[in-house]
Amino acid sequence: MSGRTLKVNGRRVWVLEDGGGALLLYLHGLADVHSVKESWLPFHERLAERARVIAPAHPGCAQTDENKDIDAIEDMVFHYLEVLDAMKLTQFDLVGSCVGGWVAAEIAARHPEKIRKLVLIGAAGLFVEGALIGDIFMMAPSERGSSYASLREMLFVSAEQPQALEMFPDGMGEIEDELRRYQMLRFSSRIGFKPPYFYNRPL
Amino acid sequence: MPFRLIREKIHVRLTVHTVDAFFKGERVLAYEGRYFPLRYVNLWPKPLQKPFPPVWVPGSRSASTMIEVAKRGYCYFLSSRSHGGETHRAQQEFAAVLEKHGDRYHPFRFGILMSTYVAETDRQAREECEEGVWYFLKNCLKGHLRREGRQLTYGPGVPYIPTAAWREYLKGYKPGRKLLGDVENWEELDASQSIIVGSPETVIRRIGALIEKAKVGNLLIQFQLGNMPDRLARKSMKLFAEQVAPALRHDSMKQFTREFSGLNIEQSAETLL
Repeated sequence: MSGRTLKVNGRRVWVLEDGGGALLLYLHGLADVHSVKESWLPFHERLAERARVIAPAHPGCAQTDENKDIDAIEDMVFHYLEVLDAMKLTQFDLVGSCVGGWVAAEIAARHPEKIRKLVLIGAAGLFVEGALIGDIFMMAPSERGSSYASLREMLFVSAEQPQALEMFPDGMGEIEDELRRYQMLRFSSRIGFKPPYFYNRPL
Repeated sequence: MPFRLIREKIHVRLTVHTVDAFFKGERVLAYEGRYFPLRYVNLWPKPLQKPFPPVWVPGSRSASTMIEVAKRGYCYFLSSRSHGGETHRAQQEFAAVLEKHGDRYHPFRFGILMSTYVAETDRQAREECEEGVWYFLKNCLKGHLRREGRQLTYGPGVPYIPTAAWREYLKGYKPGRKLLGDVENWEELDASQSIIVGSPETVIRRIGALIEKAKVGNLLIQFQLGNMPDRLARKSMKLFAEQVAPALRHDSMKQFTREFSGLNIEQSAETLL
C-alpha cells in the first residue's frame, strides 16, 4: 500500500493505492478506510490481490483538503471528474460504499463511458420507497454521553460486532481517531444534511 | 432550510452583512447570499447611537466567533451556562482576541447567561423555586446539557465547528461527565453555580464573586424556571431589581473603575446598555 498527495485545483487530495491489474476506483464510506482507519481494511487487501485499488479520501477526510464550495452531490461529481483527470484515469471499475456509493452512482449515471463495472455496497443516495435511509446525523452523537451502540447498530449487522466496537468504541478513543470520524461526518453533512436527507430522488 | 442556516454559520454572516450595511447608512440592501437571495431588504428604523448600537453575538468559547466579534467592534455573549472558572477563562480568551485586534477588553462588551431566584431568606428561596428548578433541569434540557438520551448540543454531524476547533474541544472532553441537567441533588446544583438561589444578600455575594472574577458587565438572567408560577417569578424579579441589582451595579462600577483605568466606565455602561 502506498499513499500520495495529488494537487487538484490547488487543493490536496490524499490517495491510497495498492495491488496490480485492472484499475479499480474505490470511494469510501463511513465505516471505512479514511473515515475510521488511515490504512486498508482486510477486504481492501483482498481486492488489491486482483486489482489496482485506488482510494482517494473525500474532501475534508484524511489528508485531503476541505473544500467549502462542495455543497451538493453534483459538486462531488465535478470534484471526482477533476481528480480522475489529475490521475489520467479514463476507464475503471468503480466501487462505492455507503456515502461513497452515492457518489459512485452519481458518477456512473452521468459518465457511464468511464465505468467498466459498478459495485455499490450499502449505498446512500438511492431512494427506495418504504426504505428510508437512516439518519446518521441523529445516530452519531453519543447516548448518555458515551454510548455509540445505536450508531453501530445502524452501520453494522450488530452493535456488538467486534469490528463495529473497534471502529466506533464507546467513550472516547484516541483524538486522531475521533477526528477522523468527525471529518467524515463533516464531509457527509455537506452533501447529506439537508432535505432530501442523503438521497437524490432523480438518481 | 433551517439546517442550511446552521451550516458554516451562515446565519451569522447574513446578520453581520445586513447589520454592517445598516450602520453605514444604507436603507435598502440587496443581499445575494448563497442560500438566501434577498433583492430588497428594507432597514429601518435608523439607529440613533453613533457609531452604531451595541451588537451582541452569542458564542460558547469558540475562537472563530470571538475573532469575528473583535474585527467589527461588537460585543460577545457567553451563552454556554458554564460558570465559575469557565466564565473567567472565556473572559480572558475574549480579552486576548481583542488585544490581538488592536482593541481592549471592556466589561460591558462581555455578557453571560445565568439563572437566579431571590426570596426573602435562603430557606424560603429554595422552598419556593425547587420544584421549578427540577422541572427545568429534568424536562427542559432534553438533548442539551445532560447525558440522559442523546446529547445534541455539539452534534458531530452538524459541521459548523471546524476540525481544528473540534480537536481543541476534544482535548478537554470527558465522556460521561455530569452536565447541568444531570445533577442529582441540591448540593451538586449549588456547586455548579449555574442557578444561584438565595436571599438578596446571598445572591449579591455569589453573583458579585462571579463578576469580580470574570469582570463581566452584562448578565442575561433567566428568572422563570420550568413550571414556576408567574407570581413567584415576578416576586423574585422585583427583589432582584430592588435589592440585588443596585448593589451589584454599585460594587462592579467600583471594581471596573479601579481595574480599567483610562476607560470611562459609567459612560461605557450607558452607551452599551
